[in-house]
Amino acid sequence: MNMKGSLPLLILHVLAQGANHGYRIAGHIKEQSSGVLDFKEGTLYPTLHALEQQGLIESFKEMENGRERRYYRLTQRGAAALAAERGEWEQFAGAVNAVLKGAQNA
Amino acid sequence: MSDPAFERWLRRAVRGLDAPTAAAVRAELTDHYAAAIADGQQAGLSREAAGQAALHALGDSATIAAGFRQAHGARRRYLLAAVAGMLYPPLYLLLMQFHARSAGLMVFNPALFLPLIYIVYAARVLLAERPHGANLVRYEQLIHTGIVAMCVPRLVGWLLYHQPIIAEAYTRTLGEARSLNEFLLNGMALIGLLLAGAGCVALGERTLHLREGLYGLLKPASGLLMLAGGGLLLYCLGTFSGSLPLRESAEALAVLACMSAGVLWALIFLRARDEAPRLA
Repeated sequence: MNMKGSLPLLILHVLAQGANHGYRIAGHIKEQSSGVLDFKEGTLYPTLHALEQQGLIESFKEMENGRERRYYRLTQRGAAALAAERGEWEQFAGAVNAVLKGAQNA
Repeated sequence: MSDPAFERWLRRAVRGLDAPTAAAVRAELTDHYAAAIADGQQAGLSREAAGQAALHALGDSATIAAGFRQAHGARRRYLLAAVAGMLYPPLYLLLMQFHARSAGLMVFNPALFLPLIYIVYAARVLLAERPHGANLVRYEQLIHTGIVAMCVPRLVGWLLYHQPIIAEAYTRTLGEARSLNEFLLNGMALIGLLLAGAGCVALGERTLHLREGLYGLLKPASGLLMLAGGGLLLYCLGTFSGSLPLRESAEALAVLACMSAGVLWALIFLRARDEAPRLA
């Protein structure tokens, strides 16, 4: 499914559940959508970097199994942006559902 | 991870990024790739099959490279390059004012070439990002090497002799150098000039034939770049032959073409900046 434009919102949502690294963020999105939201995993990283440039997330390095990994976590600005984006998305999805239900009832 | 296919993919994915950013991105993507292979092997795949699946899951490296370049300050880079292009004419005019004074050559010659170095770099990155652009790293390296080879002896010559070297003086030719040091410095500066001139002609010729039009401005900008390079090459010829009129005409041609090309490229960069999505 084409998820162009919604990837930042999904990343912010995953990071609201706790700090994580890119590979696991991609895995969470795919698992939680039961594979419906499939995307090329490499595209996740430019989006992560853009969100970091905007100050919505921040990165830090952590050792894991003897290897340094780059983790990301939500900032306060990111949490506020997530709340706003989620509200807009729910409003948009609600409106689309209302139209589709109306079409079915007509 | 020494997987050749992944290395090729990685090289393309970090194209156009500065060295520290490219290193960080490489480390992050390599970590991702390694984790994906480990998961694939745990799921029963062979190492080779897991590697292929991981690479496929990462996606198109060119798309990812464009995303990284966009995320890492495209707008700021284009603005800086546009300012550099606009700065070139007033910088050169300022240099002309100081031409007779010793401090002028020392201070303003490097200042004159710094914008050129940045303009060529930004143009190369911009064309690498475009759908019908090209990889122009070799041309960029040629021009940058030429500029450095031209500027270093100029500064060293000034420190040693307190006067411009032959390539800048109007009264002597290369054969009239008064010492071996002076000859070598002049020779190096002329080689630099040759490289920069040849690089400009070659880059202009290459970009002239690209499918990418850059808002219809690339062809005139390419033509001006070739003229500027030609002017530099003629200047070298004038220095070797000792022909003052040829040198003066060549310098005028190179300067006018460089100024016009600088302004044209500034317009291109401003358009590219407007097109680049805002991060905030």
